[in-house]
This record gives sequence, C-alpha cells and structure tokens, in this order.
Amino acid sequence: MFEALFEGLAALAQPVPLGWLIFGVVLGVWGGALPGVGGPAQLAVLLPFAMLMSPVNAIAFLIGVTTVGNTGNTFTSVLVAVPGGSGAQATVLDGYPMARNGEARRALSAAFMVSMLGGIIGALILFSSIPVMKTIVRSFGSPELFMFTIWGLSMIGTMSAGAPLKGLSAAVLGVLLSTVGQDIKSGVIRFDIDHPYLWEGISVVLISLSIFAIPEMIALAARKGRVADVSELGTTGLWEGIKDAFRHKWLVLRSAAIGTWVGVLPGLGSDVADWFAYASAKQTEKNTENFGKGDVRGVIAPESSNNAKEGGALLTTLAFGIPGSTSMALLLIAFVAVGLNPGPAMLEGELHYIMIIIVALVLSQILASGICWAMVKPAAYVCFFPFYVLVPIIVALTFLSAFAAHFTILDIYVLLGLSLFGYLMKVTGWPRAPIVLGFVLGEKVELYLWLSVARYDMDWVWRPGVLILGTLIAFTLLWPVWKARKAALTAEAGA
Amino acid sequence: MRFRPSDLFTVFVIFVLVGAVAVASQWVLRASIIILVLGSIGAVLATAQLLMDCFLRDRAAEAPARPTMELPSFEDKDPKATLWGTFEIWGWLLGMLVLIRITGLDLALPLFVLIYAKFYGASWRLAILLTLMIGAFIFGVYEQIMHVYWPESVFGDLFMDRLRGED
Repeated sequence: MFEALFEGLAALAQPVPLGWLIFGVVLGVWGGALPGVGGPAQLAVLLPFAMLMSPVNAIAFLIGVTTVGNTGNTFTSVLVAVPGGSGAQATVLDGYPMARNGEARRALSAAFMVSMLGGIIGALILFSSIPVMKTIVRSFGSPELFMFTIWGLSMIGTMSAGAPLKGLSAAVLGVLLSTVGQDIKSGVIRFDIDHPYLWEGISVVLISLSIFAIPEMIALAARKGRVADVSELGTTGLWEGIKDAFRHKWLVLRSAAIGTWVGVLPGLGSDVADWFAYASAKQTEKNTENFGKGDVRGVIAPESSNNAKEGGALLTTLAFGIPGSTSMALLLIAFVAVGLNPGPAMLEGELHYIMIIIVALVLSQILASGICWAMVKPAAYVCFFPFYVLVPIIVALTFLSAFAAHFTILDIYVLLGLSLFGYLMKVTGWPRAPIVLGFVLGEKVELYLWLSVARYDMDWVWRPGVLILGTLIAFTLLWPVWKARKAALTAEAGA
Repeated sequence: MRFRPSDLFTVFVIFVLVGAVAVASQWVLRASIIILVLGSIGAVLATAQLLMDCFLRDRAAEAPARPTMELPSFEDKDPKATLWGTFEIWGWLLGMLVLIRITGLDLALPLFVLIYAKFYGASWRLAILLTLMIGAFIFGVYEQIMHVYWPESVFGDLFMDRLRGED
C-alpha cells in the first residue's frame, strides 16, 4: 500500500497536475464562497473539460474543485449569515454571532485551520481504512441508516434546550416540508397544491436561504446598521483562531471522525455532517451556555466535520462505486470517462490512483485553507459595511441562488414565502435551525424506514447495529437530563 | 391567561400541522404514515407550547435562560423605527418582484442594487460599482458559463423578442 502511495505522490508532484490542482482549488473556493454557484452546478459545468484530460490531471483538477467548497463557503456563513452551501448551515449559528461581536477574523481563522485539519484527518482515515472498510460498510444496511437519521433528529431536543417544544415542532415542520412532492414508494404526489412545480419537492437551497439569509438581511435592513455590533475588529483574531483550533484539538478530532463516518455512509450526505458535529459538540463539551451566542467551538465542530466528510464520501465512491451525493455521482462519471474503474476492482488493480486521490485531497485542503486564510483580513471588513451595501448585494445573490434551484421564477416566490415564515419564526422566538435539520433528515428517515420494512419486515429492529444505535439515541436523549439533574444537585449542595 | 400577538404564530403552526395531517389522511398509508405520526406529535407539542405560553409564561420568564439553537437578535434601540424599517424592506422585496416581472430577473437585480443603495445614501460611484459587480456576475456566470434561460417578463415580451427578430 505504501508503494502505491509513493507512486501516487510522484505522479502528482509534476508541474502540470499540480497546476490543475491549484486551478481546481481556486475554482472550488470561489464557487463555495458565492452562494448557489459551487457544488454540483459548478462541477456539472466543468465536467466536459475534465473528461478530455489525462486520468492524473483529471483527478487533480476534480478533487481540487469538489473537496474544498466547504472551506470557501465559510465566508458568507460567518460574515452575513448566508450558508454558502449545505455543509455550512450549522456554522451560521455561532460564526455569525462572532462576527457581530467583532470576532469575524477569529471565527474565520479558526474555521479555515480546522477545515484543513479536518480534511487531512478525513484523508488519513480514508487511507488507513481501505483494508477494513469493505466489512464495515457492508454491515451498515438501511435499518442502521434509519437509526442514524433518528439519532440526528433526537439531537434537536438537546440543541434547543431553551425551547424544546418549539424546537421539536419546528423539526416536525421541516420533516413535513421534506415530504412535499412525489413519493417514490407509492407514486402519490404530496402537498403539491395542484402545481407541477412542487412535484419535485422543495430544494434544500431554498430552505436554508429563506430560513437564515433573508430573515437576517431583513433584520439588518430594518435596523439600518451594520453586521458588527462593535466599532472595530480585534487585532489578535487571526492567531487566536489558530490557537483555538489547537486548544480544542480533541473536538476537532471527534468532529472530523463524525464527518468522515457520515461521509462513508451512502446517502446520508454532507447536509447532515455539520449538524451532527455541532450537536455532538454541544452535548459533550463543558460550559455550553455560550453556544449560539458566538462560541468558537460552535464554528470548530461543523467546520472540522464538513471537510473530513470528503474523505469518507470518496471512500465509498471509489471502493464500492457507490456515490453518496450528487457531487460524488458527477465525480464518478468523470472518473469513468477518463478511464478509471471505481469499484472493488480499483482497490486491487488501480490502487495508485486511489493514492493520487488521497494525496490530492490532502494538498487541496492545505491550499484551500491557505488561500482563504490569506483573505481573512480584508474579508472581515464586510461586517463593517453599511446596510445599503450589504443588503442589496446579498439579497440579489440570494435571489440568484434561489433561481438556480429549478431555474424558474417560482423559486423566487417560494423563497419569499418561506422567508416570511422564517422571519416570523425569528421574531416570535422559534428556533430556526431545527426546521432545516428536520428537512435534511426527513426524506432519509422515510426512505430508510420503508427500505428496512420492505426488506426485513419488523425483524430489522433486532439487528445488532440497530440496538447499538438505539442505545446511543437513548444516551443522547437522557444525557442532558442527567447533566441538568446533576447540576441542580450540585447547586443545592452548594446552597 | 395571557394571549400575546406572538402566540398567533404558534396557532398558525398548529393549523399547518393539523392541516397536513388532515390532507395526508386521504392518501394510502405508505405515503402518509410519517406525516400522520410526526404531524400529530408536532401538533400536540405546539399545542402544549401554546398552553404553556398562555398560562405559564410568567413562571417561564423567571427560569434561567438556557441555550437555544437560534441566532441572537439585534439589540433594538428604537423599536418603532425598526418596525417601520421592517415594513420598508418588505416593501422593497415586493417591489423587486414587480420589477422582476416587468424587466426580467437579469435586469431587475442590478436595478434593485442601484436604486436601493442610492436611496439610502450611497454615493453614485459606490452605487454604480455595486450594480456593475452584480451585473458582471450575472453576465459572466449565469449568461456566459451556465447559459441560463431567463424567465419571461413584460419588457422581454415587448422588446427583446422583436430585437432578436423572433416576432
């Protein structure tokens, strides 16, 4: 295996593949930073060019483009509360409050450092798990995936401790929104209000933009101020961010492991990796009262996981030929087009190509973080732009991103309708994140439940993986209760 | 019992959840079970929230604040001005919808940027710079790279088709 690794390293250490890698990373970061431009849409545009390249050049270029979007999209999540992509939704929760507290540089700096570390950890896990991954992934069927999604939903109660009933109701609303459109199991078209636009369902892009971006811009425009509540940026933010990354090294490691694992499981997707890591951090870290108010750990956890996820997602794509997301499906098409054979055969006959991919993944993460880190200082000043600069630009970009969901004017109408809903949630004290998480997990909950029942009847309940995950869910639900009880007893004893 | 205007939103959420369950009950079980189960649970939870808000709000206010999965609100220095500002921005957004219908999305967005920035005090130079930035983004990415087909508009129907010789 190490021989193949060196072979891969040597193939990539040539000027032409390196040049394509750098070009791909620049495009990936740029696409990630502009909402609606990156991700599958960008990859689809670039695919025809990549298919004409040699396998090594194509790998370098495509890995560069595909795996760094979650680094670039941190800018908008932190600075203007616009999730640049589905992997950066949870970053908004603490990144944006940090920007408002004048700590944008620290938040961005920490985010880019842990993005790099997370990406590298993901690549290392990918490298080290090649020999055993076949067994592990095969032990995960639809029942285990169902339990995994339920675990995600169970975290909502923990994450909205201040308003648990509202949080859970909002999550249910999110799940119901995810059911809009044609049901693939029965053919029933659900909640379409007799309009074909809704047959395909509502795009997750529209949900995240309308629930976070537009309501925050409305609040900013109504107040006629700036994003930052303070008059100047701190001078220590950059180094403080880097120190934060190493200060919370175990959190980085845990979140990266969660991200990689979520990436490995086909179909779970990048949308949930950041939420799982955020919830896990909130649950396992001490002194979490500042989460949601600008705690750097709330940035570190999702940013470590969303980049680490790429290593896991590549593993199932390459080792089994099973793409876990749209981007991975496009990548798979490109790899096949340039002459690679993703699947079990690649593990045996073309191991050096897998090693090129791993090395390209590591280099991409380092390059992307370097590029973004160099832009932190000027970018942080966005928080001090007056509202009449930020609001029209962000609203225009948001409208364009929404339009890119289905390329119809109805996308804009749905965006505004949902934005009104999101804004009302904000002003009436309803937590908005659970609706996004419910939406992301809803479709998967339903799909995996029916697959489990169809394949195993009700016997799936007794599978060992299901029982282990069931225990984990019970722990997730009971741990905060036990923690609160312990704190109350300690306070009583102190009094 | 104290019913506040914000409770109206909770009532709306209950209405949506109950409505969803009622609609789903007409479908086959395979398509509706998740909606029936989760929608019913959601409606019960939201109703419990409403009852708590109406009858136990004062007691809840005394409890220590616990973290919620939500962004903190801006500090409201002048609530009256903020309320007026909220109506203003919604007016702008609805106005933009009308503009999109008239001129098309590709022209409406740069125009919106120009008018909004200038209206609230940006210099001409800054307003034009922002407009050009959005215009360049639309032209470069959406027109040249993605070759987007823009939705129909009154302006487009009247003039552009004739210019292209399609009429």
